[in-house]
Amino acid sequence: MRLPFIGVLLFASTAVAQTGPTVTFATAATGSTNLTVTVPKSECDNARRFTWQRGGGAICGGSLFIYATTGTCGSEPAATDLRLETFTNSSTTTSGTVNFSVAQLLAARNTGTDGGTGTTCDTQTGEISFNLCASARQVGGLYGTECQTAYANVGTPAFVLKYDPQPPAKPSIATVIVRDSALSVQVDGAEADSTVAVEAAAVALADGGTGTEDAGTDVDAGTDLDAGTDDGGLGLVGALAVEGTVGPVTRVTKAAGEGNVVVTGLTNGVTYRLQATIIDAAGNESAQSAAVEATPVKSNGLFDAYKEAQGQERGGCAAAGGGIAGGAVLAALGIWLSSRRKVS
Amino acid sequence: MSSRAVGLGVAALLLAVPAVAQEVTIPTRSPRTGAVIFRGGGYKPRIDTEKALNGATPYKDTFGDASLLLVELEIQRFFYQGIGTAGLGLSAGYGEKYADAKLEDGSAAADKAALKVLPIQLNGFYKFDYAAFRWGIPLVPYAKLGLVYSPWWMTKGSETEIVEGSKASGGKWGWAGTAGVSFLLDVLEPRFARDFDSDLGVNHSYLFAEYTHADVNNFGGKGLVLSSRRWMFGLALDY
Repeated sequence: MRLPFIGVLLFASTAVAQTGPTVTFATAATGSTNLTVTVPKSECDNARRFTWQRGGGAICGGSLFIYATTGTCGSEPAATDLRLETFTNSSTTTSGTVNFSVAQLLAARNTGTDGGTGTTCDTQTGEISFNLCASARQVGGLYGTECQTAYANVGTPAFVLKYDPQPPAKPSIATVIVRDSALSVQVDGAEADSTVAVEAAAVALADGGTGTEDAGTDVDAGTDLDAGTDDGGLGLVGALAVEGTVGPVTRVTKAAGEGNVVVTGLTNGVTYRLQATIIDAAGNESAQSAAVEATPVKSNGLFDAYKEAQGQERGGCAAAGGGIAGGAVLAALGIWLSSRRKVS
Repeated sequence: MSSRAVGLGVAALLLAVPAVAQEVTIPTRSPRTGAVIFRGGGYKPRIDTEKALNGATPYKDTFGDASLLLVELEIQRFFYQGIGTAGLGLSAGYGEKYADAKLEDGSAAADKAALKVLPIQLNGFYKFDYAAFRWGIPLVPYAKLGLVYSPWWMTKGSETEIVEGSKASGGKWGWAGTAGVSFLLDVLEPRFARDFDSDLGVNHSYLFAEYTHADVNNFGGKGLVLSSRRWMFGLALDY
């Protein structure tokens, strides 16, 4: 009685070992976070590239499909899915790439007999996710050699292409802290995992310069920014990223939730117009916030006060030699301590 | 066996027992080769004493009468252990002080002004611990004399200041003399002190107070004066 049982067991283990084909995916697509590739609206037409590698057993019965679907993987591709590769029993190719865009995926959804949802890059307003799948019929049955009629998911890992066409809500600039040659901007309304961008540019004045105030600065910031004016007041000049400004636009970005955005390198006494935007994880950029104006003001730290009082310290290079000497002393100490022996 | 022989045997046994007990209870002192010292205190650089300032007080105007909080770590090695202990020590510390930067009208600006120092000192020292170890007097006076190098930098906001082309960072050489007194903690818990030695190799522990006279101005050269007269307090561990 034992012998047949052992025989059946051996057969069963063979059946378990016999699996169908497998497909392994990989990608270096921009915006890939873990297994989700997020695509903003601006890149709806841009193809994403995935590589695949085929392994496992032979293809039985029908075909092995690589496709993208909004449904779940593990079935024969539907008419509304985007078929990317089809392999038959005789296919010998074991690796390759597939390139497809969200626009293609949306178009495929429109070709089904049910008409799909009929969206395009422009009309798709909500988030939609597509699973990258590989499906094939598996072998099984009593002896583990029969080709099953049902398909199974054979693709790993489970990449998802997520189309996020929705830009973040318009942020607002809550506070601007005036600093020396800098402005510290608090932006409200940023969602998690987004990036806050603040743009600053000097405001044009009627005299063609920029709005300077005598803030005790030794930098003349009001003479080299030549821009005309068209309204007699704070001129709305040019069509830069920040409306009504002249000169270069300074753009600073910072991850949301990490505090104020500090725009540095500004000129004291010059009025800057600031606007903020939010860029979500997909890359969608919000509308610009309402503009806020602020003027950096010179302040005095200890060294300012010291130099103003005719202190003779020049700092700078003198430190280098001393630093090297100090470093040498520390190094010598380290060697000395490491060679230390305890007296018994 | 005669009763005399038994008596001698018992006597020998009784003599042997205290000897064994003594060997077990008297701990073995680990060798003593150096010390580690942690200390902290207020450090007020005498920046305002620079002659070129002509009585102006930029430090006081910025920080008031407040001192920097300075913390230091010192490592010593003993080269002489006889009537007292002498050796060399090297210390490194860090101190910083923040205050509001000032606008032209003297009001507080949004930026923070800061002074930061990183004093390094190589010194020779002598401490009279003979009385503590020999006669159990738990006070150990000591003195140090050393060479000081003190890197410094001043910031406003998050940047090192640059004024009139001069960057607000550098390093100053000088010397420092220190006198202090340590209190030997071993006398409070002798058994714990012995365990500390046998377990971790720490021979003695001290709390101390010391006064330092430091002239850190490139030995009278021009520029920033980082000299100070300060009290510091801390913990010392002989190992």
